[in-house]
Amino acid sequence: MKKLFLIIIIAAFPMLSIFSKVDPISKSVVIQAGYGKVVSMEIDRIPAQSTGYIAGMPFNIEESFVQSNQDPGRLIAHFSVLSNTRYEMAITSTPMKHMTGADFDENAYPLHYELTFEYILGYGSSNNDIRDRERFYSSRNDTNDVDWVFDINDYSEGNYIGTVNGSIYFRFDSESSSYIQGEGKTALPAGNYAADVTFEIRTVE
Amino acid sequence: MKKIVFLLLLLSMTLMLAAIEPRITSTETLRILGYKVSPDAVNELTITDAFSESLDTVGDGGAISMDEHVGVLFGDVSQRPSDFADQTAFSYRVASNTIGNYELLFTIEPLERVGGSEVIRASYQLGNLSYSFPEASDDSIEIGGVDATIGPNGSVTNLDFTGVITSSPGNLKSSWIVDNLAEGHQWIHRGAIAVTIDKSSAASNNLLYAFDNAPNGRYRALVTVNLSVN
Repeated sequence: MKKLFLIIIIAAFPMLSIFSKVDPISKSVVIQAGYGKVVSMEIDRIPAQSTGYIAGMPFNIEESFVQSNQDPGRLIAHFSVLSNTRYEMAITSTPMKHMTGADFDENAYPLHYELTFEYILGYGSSNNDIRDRERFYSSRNDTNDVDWVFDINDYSEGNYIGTVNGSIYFRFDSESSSYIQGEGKTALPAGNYAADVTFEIRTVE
Repeated sequence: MKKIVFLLLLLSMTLMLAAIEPRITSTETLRILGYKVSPDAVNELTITDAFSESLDTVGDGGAISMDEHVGVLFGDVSQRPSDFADQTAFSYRVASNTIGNYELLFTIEPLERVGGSEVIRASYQLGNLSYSFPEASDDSIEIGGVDATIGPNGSVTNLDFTGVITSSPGNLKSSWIVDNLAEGHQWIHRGAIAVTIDKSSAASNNLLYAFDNAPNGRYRALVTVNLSVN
């Protein structure tokens, strides 16, 4: 009798697993493929963070982290470029200006800035440089000319397979920073400020 | 022969077009967002009653905060002093750390006799007696007069404090513009308001006397001072 009872208990143990619920864990992977040359870019804007690490947007234009003496400035976004071919990134920008509602205040004082791209190559280069930084200055003219072309291809040869992942940092240039901290303290109106930056990734023959 | 050449040209063009790959582009836009907050604005208005023994006036005494009434109780008008003119009724002081268009508005009501069965009002004049001239200091600058300068970069323009109001009720306005205030600075504007008993103005109604003709008694007038900034 005791043996029978023991056998029943041992046999019943596996059955308990039927009634214990285990939450499934799943992940997803996006398979990216293309025909011929493929290039795409994604930008992830970082919401304003004030604890732990000061980053994101919107930011106070008077804060120290966005002034010209801060290197590389305030982290505002992440970006990634997926490509299987050589490419260049053409950047066009507008100066930062005070907003009236949803529109730019056309009479506002233009504030110029500097963006720094800090990135990691998704593949090793011939000289093992896989991390680098590029910097560009915002346009100081009113045309729509491309301000700067970011060519990552100096660091690799052969096939370009994989991604470039990086961070974008913002800081005002020295002239605008001086204005913000000086005359602009009273001259610049309170309210929202914005600037638009357009990135065009284009393949290179 | 011409047909062969034409066909060869057509073939070569087709091959060329097939060999030219379209340039692939991808465009993304990033809007960079910032903001600027308004500085903590501090605007203070202080009114201080004046005491004049010759007029035997009694006031509320002490400094009064912004928008409060200032009461001036005139003494026994049977005294009829000859030097009623240009007696200080009260002084004011405006202190601020912001810029803008400022306005001081003095609204007066008639002198009204205290007590008695009959309401008796008398007229008087209220006007600027004086205002201070700028004195520079590290922390605060006093302004007065047109085009007075405050701070290293600041300026005061369009100071307009003229005129005398007569035959209460009425109002007296002072306005000025403060611009480009240096950081960490405040500006101060002081002035004194004089009361002049209007002995000559005629009564505008049965209840309003020229002071010289007003019945004896103690009279009281209320003056409201408002500070506004745009």
